Amino acid sequence: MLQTEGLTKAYDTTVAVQDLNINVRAGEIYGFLGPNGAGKTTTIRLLLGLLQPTAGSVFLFGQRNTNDMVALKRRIGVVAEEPLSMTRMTGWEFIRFFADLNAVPQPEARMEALFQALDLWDARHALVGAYSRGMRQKLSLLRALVHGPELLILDEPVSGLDPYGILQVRQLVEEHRQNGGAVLISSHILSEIERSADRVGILHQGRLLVEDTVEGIRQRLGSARVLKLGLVMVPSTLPDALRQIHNVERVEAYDSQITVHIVGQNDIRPEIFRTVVAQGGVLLEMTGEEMSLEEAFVTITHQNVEQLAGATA
Amino acid sequence: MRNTAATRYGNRGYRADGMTTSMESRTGSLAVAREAPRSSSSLRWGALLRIARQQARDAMLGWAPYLVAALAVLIAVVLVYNAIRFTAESGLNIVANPFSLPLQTAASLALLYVTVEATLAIARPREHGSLQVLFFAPVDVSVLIGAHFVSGIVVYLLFLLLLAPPLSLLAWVTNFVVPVALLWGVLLTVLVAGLAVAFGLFLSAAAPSGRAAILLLVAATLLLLIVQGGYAALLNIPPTSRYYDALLFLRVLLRNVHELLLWFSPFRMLDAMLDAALRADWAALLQYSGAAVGGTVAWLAAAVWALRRRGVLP
Repeated sequence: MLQTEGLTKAYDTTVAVQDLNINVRAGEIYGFLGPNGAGKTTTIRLLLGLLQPTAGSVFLFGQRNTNDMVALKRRIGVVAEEPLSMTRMTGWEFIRFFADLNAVPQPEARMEALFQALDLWDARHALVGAYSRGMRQKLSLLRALVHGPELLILDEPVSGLDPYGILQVRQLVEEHRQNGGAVLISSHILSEIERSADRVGILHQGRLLVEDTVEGIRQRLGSARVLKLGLVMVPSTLPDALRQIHNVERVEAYDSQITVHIVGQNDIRPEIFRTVVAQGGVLLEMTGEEMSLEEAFVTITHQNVEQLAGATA
Repeated sequence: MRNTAATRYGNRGYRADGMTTSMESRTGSLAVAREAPRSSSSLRWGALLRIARQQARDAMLGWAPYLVAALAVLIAVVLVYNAIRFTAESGLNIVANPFSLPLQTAASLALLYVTVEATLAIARPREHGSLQVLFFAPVDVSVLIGAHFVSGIVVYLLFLLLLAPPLSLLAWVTNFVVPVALLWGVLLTVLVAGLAVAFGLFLSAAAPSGRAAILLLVAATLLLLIVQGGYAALLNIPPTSRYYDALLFLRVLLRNVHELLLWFSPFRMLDAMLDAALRADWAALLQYSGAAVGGTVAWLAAAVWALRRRGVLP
């Protein structure tokens, strides 16, 4: 549904987006991650034709977006970090206005359903200017969904929402995906992306560092898996013995617990068990912790910074 | 039990071939009716008219047009009262067309109002970052400029409509006759309003902020006033020499600029148009109308170019 080829946006002194290649398919939620200033919002503006790329192309629904953006926009719903100026309108009028712009025939029933789905029904006749930040965020999502778009582009969609609001948005996004729609979601809330995204792209300093599933990213990093061992008592020789095992990066012993940091993909739990027994330890429990997307994100961007620093040194 | 959002909001499903898969069975009347794809031009026209309607409604819901209209009526009352007093005091002298100046003032105020509105129409929301929201919908630069242009014209006409009852009442009370030709002239000033709105939109599209746009408008207006005032002032200063006086050169220069402005300044064109209407000089009216339409088209094209160049982002 959405594809970029070598998308680049350069300003006089900086390159905001560099040679970006992403592909968002139908029925997929694509998480777009990156620290502040990574180029996420610039990318979204390039996708929508609000900025002209320095190089490269954007394809929406198989068509180059420069062909007929007006018709293409009708198939896209966008939530961006946006101030609303139409504060003289009520929430209902605001959504009706955008339904009309998108030429939605008889939108009232759908509007009513959407207002109720996002718990804005009671506030529909209040002026937009009187809405709280969370309500405005919901209104933006409502605006993006009112014309039943095939592609949703969401920039920080849960920003300012309470946990229940986040749940409602997540539910709508998930249902959009289930109905065959595609979603490009950019968020700082990594747990949100981790929970909902099928694939993730991590952008840093305008470059796409990695694009994969969350699981794939963990595997690519191949590290930072952690095993926690609970023992009756820790034999003094056990930590050193564990360090001898291939793929064990670090061992930390504290009281009756040992934390083993593992690199690589090999399952070394049997070997650890044997080593504990061989050293006279009594193992009560062994639990594994996967690297969170947040940890992966930090690791990837940090590695990249180090690489860049190394390249310039 | 709480319904899922999908059953309530009636989302459409999509198949790989681009056809919508129906969810009507689950959602009943909540699903969006399946419509044929709309052409870009039909979407553009629909969006243009919808935005124009909204802008005109927002303008008329504010207090500013009513304040300006009240001011116009007040000025008209004072001018007509002065005409009556002058006639009473001077005995034989009569004032020809006592409604000419009040109507001209009212039209000028309306022109000023729509010009200021147009000057802020794009620059202000762009500065606040909210203009881009419109561009998430099937809207492009020409649609936005066109919509603001149409809404400016509509507001101008509504403004004239707003003034019609109090001015008619004034004419009835004073027993002064408003010539039909003058009324036609006032109606034709809508073309001049188009020129003023298009110029305001160009400033709005080109300026980096609302304040800058207004400053540009003030600068342009001051320039016009300086030329007009300067020319009038120079006419009152007697030259010291018949052939080599710099004053004569300045006079000629300003007179030429002054004449040129007639074809560019909406306010000068408005004066000239009403004057031509009073004289029933239809050829001059046609000329001015043509110039106004030509200028409007040129400023609108410049506004589209400027907005494309500057973009819709803050």
